[in-house]
Amino acid sequence: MVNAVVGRHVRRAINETGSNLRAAAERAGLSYRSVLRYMSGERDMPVPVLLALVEASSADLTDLMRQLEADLHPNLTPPASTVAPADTAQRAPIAREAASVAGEDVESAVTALHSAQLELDRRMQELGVSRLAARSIGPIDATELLAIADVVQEIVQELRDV
Amino acid sequence: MSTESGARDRGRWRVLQTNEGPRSGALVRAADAFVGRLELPKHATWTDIQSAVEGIYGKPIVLIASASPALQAVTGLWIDAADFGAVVCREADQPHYQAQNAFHELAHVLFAMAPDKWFTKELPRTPLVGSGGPSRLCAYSSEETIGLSQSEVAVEEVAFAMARAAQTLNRSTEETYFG
Repeated sequence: MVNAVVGRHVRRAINETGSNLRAAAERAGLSYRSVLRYMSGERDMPVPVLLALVEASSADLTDLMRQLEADLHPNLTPPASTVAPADTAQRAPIAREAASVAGEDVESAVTALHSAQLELDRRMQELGVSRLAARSIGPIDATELLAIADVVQEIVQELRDV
Repeated sequence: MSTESGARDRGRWRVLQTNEGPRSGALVRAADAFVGRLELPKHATWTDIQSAVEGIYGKPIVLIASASPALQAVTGLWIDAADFGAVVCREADQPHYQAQNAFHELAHVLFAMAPDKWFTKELPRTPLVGSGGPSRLCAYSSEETIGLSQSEVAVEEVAFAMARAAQTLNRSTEETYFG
């Protein structure tokens, strides 16, 4: 059920840019059929796939996360303006418990990974690296993304010193 | 068909991969033709392939084995700097696996730099998944995601084609399949 909700919101976010699922899949280098399976909720959508689709279509990630949160946790996340401080404190334990459920995991994982990739990009630009491709045997988490920046920095600086 | 099911049920064999989808014979032939454009000598060496790719790239490529424990899921990197390129493998990996990773990264160089006429319907030039910045993360292959990225399948197939071109020995069947 959660998968289908995520898929529906990702599709909406892409459509709102004036693009469509097929075009976003092609631009991201993803199989359209696989993307359709994610959208229907048939398969769990890996975070890198979600990010790739968002980036390929220039969809609004922040808005997507807001819509997802509102849909997945309607009782826990009322509009910010209506939450008094005491109310927030009262809800915090429930929210933490809810974080172990899929919805907020998705959000925090996406946020961490996206932040790490932005940091990696920033450091590569500082180093004068115009392109960095990484082959992997599994999903690359935020910690490893930042470690890649260290590895690349060491190599590039030493090669320039030779 | 019932015989196959019976054999499978008794645990005598199982299907590892079928030849359906993009990993078709046409793609393998297209990858061989693509690598053929490098005009490598017969029984090419690693140096021959590296030099040929450098010729397309327009700058030197340094091959590096990294001992960094930080590379967990990542098995290979292509670093594109202004004055050189670097292909990074993991030192702890088996040599043949390092070679496959290096070929994969060289294939990425070609997918980025080779002229349009090198690409075909069977082997199209497709973009890497990226953030809009320098970093591009190749879609990984697993039971969940295999077939996910057509560009990665094509790049990997070109890497295999390079490996075939670099086989310097006319190995016998026994050598090839039984070490």
